[in-house]
Amino acid sequence: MADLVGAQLQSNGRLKALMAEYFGQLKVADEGGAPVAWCTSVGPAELLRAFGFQVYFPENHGAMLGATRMAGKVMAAAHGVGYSQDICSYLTSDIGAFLSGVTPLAKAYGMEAVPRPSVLVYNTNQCREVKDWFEWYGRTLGVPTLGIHSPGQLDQVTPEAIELVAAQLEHLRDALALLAPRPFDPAALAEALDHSREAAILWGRCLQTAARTPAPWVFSDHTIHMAPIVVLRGTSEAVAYYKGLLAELEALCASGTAAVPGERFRIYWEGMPIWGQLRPLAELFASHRAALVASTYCNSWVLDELDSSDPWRAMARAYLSIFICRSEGYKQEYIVRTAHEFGAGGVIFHDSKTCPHNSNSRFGMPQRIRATEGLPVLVLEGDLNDPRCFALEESRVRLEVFLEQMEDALG
Amino acid sequence: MSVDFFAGVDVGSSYAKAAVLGAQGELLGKALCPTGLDLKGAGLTALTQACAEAGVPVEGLSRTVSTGYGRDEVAGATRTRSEIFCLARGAFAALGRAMTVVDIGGQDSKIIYVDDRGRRLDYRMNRKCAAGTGAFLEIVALRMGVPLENLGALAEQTREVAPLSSFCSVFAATEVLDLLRKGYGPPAIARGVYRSVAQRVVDMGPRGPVVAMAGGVVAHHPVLLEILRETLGLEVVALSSPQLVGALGAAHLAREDGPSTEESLEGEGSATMREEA
Repeated sequence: MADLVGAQLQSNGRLKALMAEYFGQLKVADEGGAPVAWCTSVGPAELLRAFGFQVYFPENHGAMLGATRMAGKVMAAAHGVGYSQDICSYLTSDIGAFLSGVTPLAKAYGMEAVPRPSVLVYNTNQCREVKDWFEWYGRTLGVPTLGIHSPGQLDQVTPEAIELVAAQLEHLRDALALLAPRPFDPAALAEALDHSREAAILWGRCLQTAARTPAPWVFSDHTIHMAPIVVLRGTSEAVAYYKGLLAELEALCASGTAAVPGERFRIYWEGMPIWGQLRPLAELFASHRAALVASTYCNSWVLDELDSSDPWRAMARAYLSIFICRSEGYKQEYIVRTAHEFGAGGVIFHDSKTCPHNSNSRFGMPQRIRATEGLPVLVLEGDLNDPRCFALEESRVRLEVFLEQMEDALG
Repeated sequence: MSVDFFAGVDVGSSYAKAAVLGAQGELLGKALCPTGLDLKGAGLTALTQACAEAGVPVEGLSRTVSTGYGRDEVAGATRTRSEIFCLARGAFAALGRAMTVVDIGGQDSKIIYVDDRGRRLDYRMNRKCAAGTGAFLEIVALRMGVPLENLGALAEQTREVAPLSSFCSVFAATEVLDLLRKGYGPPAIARGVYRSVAQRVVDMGPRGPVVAMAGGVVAHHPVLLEILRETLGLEVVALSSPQLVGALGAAHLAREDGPSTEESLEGEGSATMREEA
């Protein structure tokens, strides 16, 4: 039987090698006692690189725990030390894995443990949970925990908000100078920002290829190939990787290659991936000839406002501009605009039980979008990592009704 | 001259149901059997029995649409359709007017708004929880030590309603003990159990002019109709053979559908019922 799951990309091999190299460097740093900074996924990674830190991202580890289905086995350890099963399951699975002494990095990259941090740096532009998450490690490991406190629910990224965060970033620079392996190097920051911006633009162009019909790749592919824009932001390796990926995707577009053979439905996915169900869901969608062509999760990861000529304000602006940091009205407008841009005929809202900040179905948005745009919408209950919150069979019924609605809308 | 026959098979979590229609949509045969653990066997048994009642060999069917939990296990099905679509079609075939279809099954419950042309306007399903479903009644009856089939008769013995939450089946069973300690008799508790199921239906937002009940729970617990009328303040009717509504709708869709699975995927526009939402 043909593999129904997404695009057959030659870049898959390059991605595997690139990630192996990244984790290999972390392993070497960890074993050699070189400084490793932990950073939230939209934290100031460029600044950390400018100080010469190796940068590790616990959220990436959380996603790996979900995708490998290890999360469900280790979360109880975090619940046992007081971290509720109602809070972020990235947090509970990551801390649970640490307490259980296991990591998916062992099988994938030969790392027996996550690298020991020299400093933990968060940005609350995503959620407050990252602060609690990092502070647990700070207390447990006796490691300094530093953070940026960002205003949220932004309609506009105002000059006042930018100044507030820019000032914190400069303060963070001074604090990091006491912990870093080398002095702050403005040229290195400029270089990292330039790399970030270029990689972000390339990533955006890669995603944009799915606006074409048929889509050459789909959400299950996007979630895998976004790894470099998360963990290698600010590096030339990320730029090179996305140049290659873009070339491959454009070739697929030129040849009319479809990730979903016989593509009939085009869908926008709003919210977090359900990491442990990526493959079954991709198979389910493909079996109905449905292509998930765009998503908030992957498409909003485009930090193209980084600017090395005005680094502090540009970093502040870029970090504040991310989708999750914005107002309900902005989010709705973004989803509608992006869905139309990609020719999506319906929107699936993943209501992720333990991730309220990345679940946008709880204040009437699906109903508003259906009313104003006439788009079929589906709210799918699940979770990013907690397998207790998702039942494939129960969700299958809802998905099939949703696809029937889309079929009817196609006429 | 060949004669066309069409079948619908609804393999639910508790029962498999089948209906066979003639060329004009007339009901020729119907059947129902417990699903058990053999989804494939249950679907085939129900279909075979319905065909036997209709006097039609299984291999003589023109098209068969399957639905329900075991829809992919029905041998010979030319197409699968969602339960929502099938229930709406089956209910409209029976009543022919605007309604809210309420289906309470063994493991889930759902409501579907249907307009006066049979179009599905919207639907809602219960959250991932068995409260308000047949499984809820089974669990509470077990805790009360009452055979499930006697629970309705018990509830009809009184107008008193013991206040039972509708939050969780497992906790509701524990609540029963608390209610007994507080002095409520089994009839009031039984009535409270049905009120709890009715409240779950209310929470999903059914609206008039008429609420049409389908599914196994109302088939086996007619007292629920009376309690739903009290709770909703709307006209509430039980559809004929409420457990078979989905199978009947599937049979109608088979009759109205394209000639085969692949072709019908392209030709959905031929279906008589359309989605507005």
